[in-house]
Amino acid sequence: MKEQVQIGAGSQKTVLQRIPMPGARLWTPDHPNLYTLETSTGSDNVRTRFGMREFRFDTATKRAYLNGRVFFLRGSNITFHRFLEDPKSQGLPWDKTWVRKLLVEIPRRLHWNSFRICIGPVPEFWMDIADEAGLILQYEFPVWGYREAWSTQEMITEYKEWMQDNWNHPSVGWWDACNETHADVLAEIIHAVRPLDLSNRAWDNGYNPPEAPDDPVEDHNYLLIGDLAPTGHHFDVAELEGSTGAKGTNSPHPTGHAAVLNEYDWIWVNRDGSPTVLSIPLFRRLVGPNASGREVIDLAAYLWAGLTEYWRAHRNYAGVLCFTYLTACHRDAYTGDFFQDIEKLKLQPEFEEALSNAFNPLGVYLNFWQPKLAAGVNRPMAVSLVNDEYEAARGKLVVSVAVNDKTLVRREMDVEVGPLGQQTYIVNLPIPSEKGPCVVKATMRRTGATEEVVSRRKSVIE
Amino acid sequence: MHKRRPIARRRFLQESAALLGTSSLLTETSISRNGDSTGGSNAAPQGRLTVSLDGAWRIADSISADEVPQSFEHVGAVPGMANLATPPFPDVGAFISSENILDRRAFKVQPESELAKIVPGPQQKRSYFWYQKTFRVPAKREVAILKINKAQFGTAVWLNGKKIGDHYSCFTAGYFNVTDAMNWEGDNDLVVRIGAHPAAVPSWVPTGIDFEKNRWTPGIYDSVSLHLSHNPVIETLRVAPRIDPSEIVVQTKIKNYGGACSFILTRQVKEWKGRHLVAESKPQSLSLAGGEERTFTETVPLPGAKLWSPENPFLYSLEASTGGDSFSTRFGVREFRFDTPTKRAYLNGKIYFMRGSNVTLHRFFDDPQCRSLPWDEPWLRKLLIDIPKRMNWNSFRFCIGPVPDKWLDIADEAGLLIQNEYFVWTLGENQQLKWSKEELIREYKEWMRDNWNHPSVVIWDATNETLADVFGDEIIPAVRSMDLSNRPWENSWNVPDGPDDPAECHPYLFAVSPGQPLSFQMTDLEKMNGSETPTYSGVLTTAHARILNEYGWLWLTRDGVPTPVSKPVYDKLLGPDATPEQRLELNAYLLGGLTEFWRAHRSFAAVLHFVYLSSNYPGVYTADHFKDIQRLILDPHFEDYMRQAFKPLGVYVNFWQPTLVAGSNRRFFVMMINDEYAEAKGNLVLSLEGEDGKEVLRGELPFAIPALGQQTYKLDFVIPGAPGKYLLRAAASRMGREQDPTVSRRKLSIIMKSG
Repeated sequence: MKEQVQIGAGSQKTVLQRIPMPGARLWTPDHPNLYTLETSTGSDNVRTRFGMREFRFDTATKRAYLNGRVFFLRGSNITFHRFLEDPKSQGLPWDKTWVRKLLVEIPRRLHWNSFRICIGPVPEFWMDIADEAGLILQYEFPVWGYREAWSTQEMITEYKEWMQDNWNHPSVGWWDACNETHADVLAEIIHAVRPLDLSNRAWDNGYNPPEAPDDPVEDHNYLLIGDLAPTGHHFDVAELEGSTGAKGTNSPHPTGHAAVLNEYDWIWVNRDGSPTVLSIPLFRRLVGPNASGREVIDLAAYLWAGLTEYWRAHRNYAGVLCFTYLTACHRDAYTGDFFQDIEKLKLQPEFEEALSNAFNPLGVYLNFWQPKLAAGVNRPMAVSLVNDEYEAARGKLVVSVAVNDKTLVRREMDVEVGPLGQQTYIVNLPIPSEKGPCVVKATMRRTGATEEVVSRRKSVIE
Repeated sequence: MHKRRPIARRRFLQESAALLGTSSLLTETSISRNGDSTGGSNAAPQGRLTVSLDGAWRIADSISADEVPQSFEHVGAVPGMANLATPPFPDVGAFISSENILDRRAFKVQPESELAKIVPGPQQKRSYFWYQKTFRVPAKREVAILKINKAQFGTAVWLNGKKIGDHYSCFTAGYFNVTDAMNWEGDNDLVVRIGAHPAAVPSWVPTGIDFEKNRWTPGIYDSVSLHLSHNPVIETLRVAPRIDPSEIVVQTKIKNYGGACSFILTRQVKEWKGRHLVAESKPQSLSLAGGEERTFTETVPLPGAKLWSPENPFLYSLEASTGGDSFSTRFGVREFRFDTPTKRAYLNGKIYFMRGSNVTLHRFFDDPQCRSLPWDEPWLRKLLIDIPKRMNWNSFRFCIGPVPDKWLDIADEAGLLIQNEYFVWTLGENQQLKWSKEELIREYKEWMRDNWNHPSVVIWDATNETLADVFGDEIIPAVRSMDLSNRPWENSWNVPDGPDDPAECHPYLFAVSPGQPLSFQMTDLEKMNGSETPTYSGVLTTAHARILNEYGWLWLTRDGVPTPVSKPVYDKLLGPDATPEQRLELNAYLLGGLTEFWRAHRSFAAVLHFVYLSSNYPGVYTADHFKDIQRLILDPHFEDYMRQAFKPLGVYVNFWQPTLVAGSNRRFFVMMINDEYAEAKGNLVLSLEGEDGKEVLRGELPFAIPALGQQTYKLDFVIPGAPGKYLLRAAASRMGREQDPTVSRRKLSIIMKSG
C-alpha cells in the first residue's frame, strides 16, 4: 500500500492505514504464523512482525477466545526479575539458546500455551521468541502493591511506553496492570492508556474490579496456605473430592467476569528439594521436619499434578497457570520453580512427569483423595475428563489399582469427550483384598495414539 | 364381573349437576374435529372426531380390584382429584410413605414414640376409586381410542361391561382401543378404575417418591377424551424445529387398524393465531397392509419462520391428514441447548439466562385449598402468564411430577422455558429405587411422546436429587433418541449423560438440622463467589452447565409460620416470639438477597427459586409465597423483593453487615448484570435512608453494562454520625425505563464507635 503523506517541518503525524489481508493465515499456539510489516517513508524504514489473531475474554461466558473460538489457557508464570537475583542467573537470560529452550521446547513438552510474565517485563527478544513459540502471555507491569508516592502521570507515561514496546507482539494476549493490588488509581491509568492499543487487548487489574466489560480477573487460590498461620485451616486434599473448583480470592473484587487462575497452591520447593520460606510449615505437617529433598519433591510433584488436574477439571477458569516456572533459588527464597539444573534447564523429573500429565490438553482427573481404602469393597471412582481441543477425544479409559507395583485390579471403558468438552465417568472399582500402600490410576489413551495421560492417587488398602 | 343397573343419562346429569352445584354439566360432552383441541378444526370431512369426556363423573370406592361397583353414589369432576367428590369420601389421600417417615424423623416432626407406631402405606380403608360416565358419539368410525391423559394411581378401563385394559403409569397418557366395545348408536357405559393410593399398583410401578409429601391424593388429573377415526389412524405426530436452515422435521406414525389400504398423507403448517397457511408439504400417496404401522419422516422448509422465545412466543400449528384421520399439533420454531464449554444455556443460538421458580403441582394436589384450581383456566393463566411476567421469570421447573397438558399449552403461549421433571426423588446411593427399569423406560417414552411438541419443554429432567446409576447408564440412553429436537437431559446427582447435558445444584446455605447451630449468615456472602456448592455426594464431579433450581431453606406457610425444616432458622434469626409478618418480611428480604447474589456472580445458566407453588397445611415441609392461593395474590413482601431480584438488569449490593460505625469510611461494591441483548445504560444511585425515609447520603454514577454482561461498581461513603436504623438502597435506572429502576436493599444500623 502506498500513500502520499504531507508532513510539516518539525512536526509529527500519525498515519492510520487498513491493509486487506484476505486469506491470511491465523496465528495460534499450534501454528504461530508470523508476518512482517515493512514501512518506509523513503528516507527511513521500520520493520515489525505481527501475527493475525484476535484474543479476548468474554464476560457472558467467562472464557478466553482466540480467533473467535473458546481457548483454554494452560501454563505457568515467569518471574524474570526474581530470577535475576538467583546466583545462577548470570548471563542466562540473554543466552538465546537457553531462552528458546525455556520458552519453546519445555513449554511444548509440558503442554503449556500460556505464561504470565509476572511482576516485571522481560528483554524484548524473549517476546520475539514467545511470538515464534505461539505463547499467549499475560504481560504484567511490575506493580504489586501501590505506593502513594508514585506519580500517576509518570505511571501513565510508563504504561504507554510499555504498551508501545510490546503492542505488535501477537504473543501479548492481555495487559496486566498489577499483581494482587488494590489501588483505584490503576483503573484511571488503564482508562487513560487503553485506547493506545489498536487491538483493544483486555486488561487484568489485580484485586481491583475489572475496568472494562470484558476484562478478566486473576485468582490466587492458595488452598494450602493455611499452614502458614498457627490458626489457619490445615487443608486436607480429601476435601477436594467434595469441592467444586470454585474461585477463591473474591471479596476484594466481587465480579462475574472471566477469571484466570494464575497462582496456586503454596507448595514451592527449592531446587535441592528443601521447602521455601513460605512452604516450610506445610511440608513439615505433610512429611515431617526431617524429610529428604527427594521426599519433598515427590510430594510437591504429586500435589502439583493433582491440584492442577482438579482446577482444570471443574472448568471454572478461562486459564490455569501454575506458579512458578522460573524464579530465584536461594536460601531465603519465598517461592520456587520446577528446575533441578537451571543452567541446563533440566526440570526435576518428578515435576516434569507430573506437569506434563496434568496439563495435557486431554485432562484426566481422578476425583479420589482418600488416604485409606477398605480392602475387598466396591468403590465408585469418578474420573473427570476435559478436552481443550477442537475435536472430540475418543479412546480408552483404564482405572487400576496397584499394590507394590503390581496391578491387581483393572477396569477399562470406551470414553468420549466432545470438542472443548468435559465428561465424567464413574468406574466401580473392586478394591483388592491385598493390604498395603497402593496407587490408584486413571489412564486415558486416545484412539490411535501412544501417549497416555495419567492421574494418580496414593492410598493405603486396609 | 357383575352386571350393573343401567343409569339413565339424563338422570345422571341432573343428579351430578345438583351435587356439584352447577347446571353446566348438562352439556355432557363436547366434540371437536381434528386431533388436538389447540389445533383448531379445518380437517378433512373424514378427519378425526374428538369427544371430550371431561366433566362430572360418578364415583365409588372399593377394596376389591375386580368387582365393578353396583352403584356410584358420589360425583366428582374429571379432570380433578378424588377428594373433590360430592358427597366427600373419608380419608382420601391418607398414605404415609416410608420416605416420609424418614423426613418426619429427621426434622423431628413427631416424637419417636408416635413414629414407631406408623406402618408405612395406606391409612385408609380402600384401594380403588371407580369413575363412571355415560356418553354417546355423534357418528360411527372404524376406530375408537380412549385417551386418559393422566391419572393416578394406575388405570383400568371397562366399556359397556368389557374390560379394555390397564395402564399403570401415573404420569403419562393411557390409550385404550375401545373400538370393539363401542355402542355406536346408543349410550356407552365407561368405567375407569384408579388406585386410591400408591400401594394400589404393583411395587415395580413408579408412583413417585417425595419425602415431603404427607398425603397422596388420587384422581384423574388430566383430560379424558375419545378419538374416533377412519383408517389409517395417526398415532403420533412429532415436530422438531430447526432454525438454520429454517425448517421442521415432521415424523408421522400411522397405524392401519383395518385391512390393506391406500391413502394420501398431507401436512400443512399454519400460524396458530390467524390460521394463515405458511407451508404445505407435497401430498404423499402411501399404502399400508392390514394391521401395519409405519413412521414417515419429512422435512418441511419454513423460510423466514418467526422464532419462538419468551419475549415472542410465536406458535404454529401442524395439521396432518390421512383422509381417514387427521391430527393437529402446535409447535414453536426454537432451538434450545446447554453448552459445556461455556456452561450456558442457548436459545436460538444466543446465550439465554434463565430466571424463574419451581412448581410442585403434586404437592399442591394435597393442599386443602387446591380444589379445582389446577383446571381453572383463568386461574392457571394468571399463575403461568400474568404473575411470572410481573416477577420477571422466564422459566420454571415443573418439579417432581408432570402437570396436566393444559399447563404446557399455556406455558407455550406464555413463552416459558420448562425444566420438565419426572416424579423421581430418591436421594442417595441407589437404595430407594425398587421400580422396574423396563417400566421406567416405557413411561419415560410415553412422557416424551406426550410432551415433545411443546416448545416450552426445553429440558427433560429425569430425577430430582437422586443418585442412581440406572438413569444415566440405561434409561436416558434408551429414550434420548426419541426426541428429534435432542433436548438436554438433567439427571440431578448423577453424572450428566450427554456431552452438553446440564446438572442441577441446590445450595441451601440456611439448611440446618434440628438441634444443630445455624452456621451460615448473610455476611458470609460478602466473601463468597457464587459458585456451585458441593453436591450430596463427593463422587460426582462435573463441569457441565449448572442449573440452580433450589436455594434458601426459608419456607413459611402462607400465614407466616415456619415449617418443620425452617423453624430452627427463624428461631435463630428472629427468636421464637416473632410475628408472622416479621417472618414473612424477613423471608422475602433474605430470598431477595440470595437471588441477587446467585445471579450476580454468573456461575449458573439458570437461577430458579424454590418454590412458587406448593402445599399449605400444618406440618408441610416446603411452602409457597401466596397470601391468597385462590385469587393468586402473592405475599406483598415476596413480590416486592423478588420482583426486583429477578429483573433482567440485576443489582446486588455486596454488603450484609448489620452495623456500620458512624463517621467511618466505607466502600460499597455494587454488582450489576444485564440478561438482555442490548446494552443497559443509565444511572446507579446508592443512598442511605433513615427510618423516616429521608435520604441522608447519596452517591451516583453512570453505568453501562453490555449485552449479557456484568460489571461491578464501587462507591465510597463516609457514614453519617447519627446512630439509628437505616436502609442502604441501590437503584439502577435504565435510560428510557427510569420509572422502573432495579432496587437492591440492605438494612443496617449505624452505631457509635465504642470507647
